[in-house]
Amino acid sequence: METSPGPGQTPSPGEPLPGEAHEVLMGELHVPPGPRLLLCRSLGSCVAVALHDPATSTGGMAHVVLPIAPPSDAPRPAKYAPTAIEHLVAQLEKAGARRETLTARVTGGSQMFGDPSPDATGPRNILAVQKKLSEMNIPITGAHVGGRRGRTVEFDTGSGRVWVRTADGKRTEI
Amino acid sequence: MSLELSELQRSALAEMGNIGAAHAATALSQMLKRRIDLRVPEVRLVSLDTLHTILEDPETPVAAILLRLFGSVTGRVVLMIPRDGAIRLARLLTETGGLHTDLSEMELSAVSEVGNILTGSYLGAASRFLNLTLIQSTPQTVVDMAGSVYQSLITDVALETDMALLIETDIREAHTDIRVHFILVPDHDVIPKFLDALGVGDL
Repeated sequence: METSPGPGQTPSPGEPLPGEAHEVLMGELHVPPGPRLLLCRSLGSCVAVALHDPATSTGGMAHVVLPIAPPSDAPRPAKYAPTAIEHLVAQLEKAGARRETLTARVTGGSQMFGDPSPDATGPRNILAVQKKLSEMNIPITGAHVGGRRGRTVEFDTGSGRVWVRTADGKRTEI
Repeated sequence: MSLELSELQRSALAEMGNIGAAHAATALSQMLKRRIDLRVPEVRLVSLDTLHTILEDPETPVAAILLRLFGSVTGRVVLMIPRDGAIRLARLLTETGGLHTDLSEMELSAVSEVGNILTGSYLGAASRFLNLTLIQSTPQTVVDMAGSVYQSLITDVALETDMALLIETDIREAHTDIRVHFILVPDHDVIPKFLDALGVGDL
């Protein structure tokens, strides 16, 4: 088990960890063995769920695509909100995290086109993620969701810091 | 499903693209009262899984024009133009100048109109080649990351296909090409039927 960075080792404000980021692609999830910068690029209706355990400085992220699995597609749990979060929590526990201290940051779920509708994939993804996290008693401590914008998320699994970038070049921490 | 096309199907697709582009060039030239040239360097079928590789960087800002498709085939058409190209195109249409790097409402609507014209021309050509009725909705345009647009396009719960038709188009203006990616995503798995129609028609 790698040592977790103390407060003195966290990056300066706004700066991600040095080193190459690991990109979490659509329908995938990742729990790195030690502190790492994780990236979900250009989310539209997809939702990135970043879970962090401050007690053990462990974290992981899922790139959720759809709110529920269609009956025909069972083999890709990380693609669908409920199973993605279950698998992410299980892998974090395996990596030493404790479920009781996990916190969540949720990003994405926009509706890029069409008249705003609760039936669109983005809003449904947000609801499905909120529901599952609530069932598992994991509090959402930050969110950047909904609307019409695309987003890129960076998550420093060591410090637990999360930044969101939009197409206008703005970068905000949530 | 295989993406391999026969020589006949390949040349039929290219021909369909060229006919559509010729119509669009005429329409754009009339609208702008000057000659506009269009080239179609490539027409191909792409799997939705690899759609995001069309542009190298998913965070590239693009103007994306979306139209719904009705008629014999339902689905969506999206046209993507890298933001810089869209700004140049809008300036050409609205005869505005300036150095701002964002698109105004009027410029966005000008870009939408180009999307509308291109789509109408390609669908017209496809209707004739495939003997189908294809009707388009009014366009809706956003400026955002390319990846977010692709992703929103292909992650529809109701989508029953994994293939799209891609027509690359270059609009030549002042000796520089503005690349437009025209992507047709049918709701259902109708691409094999398209190919049958292309393979056996007397072309």
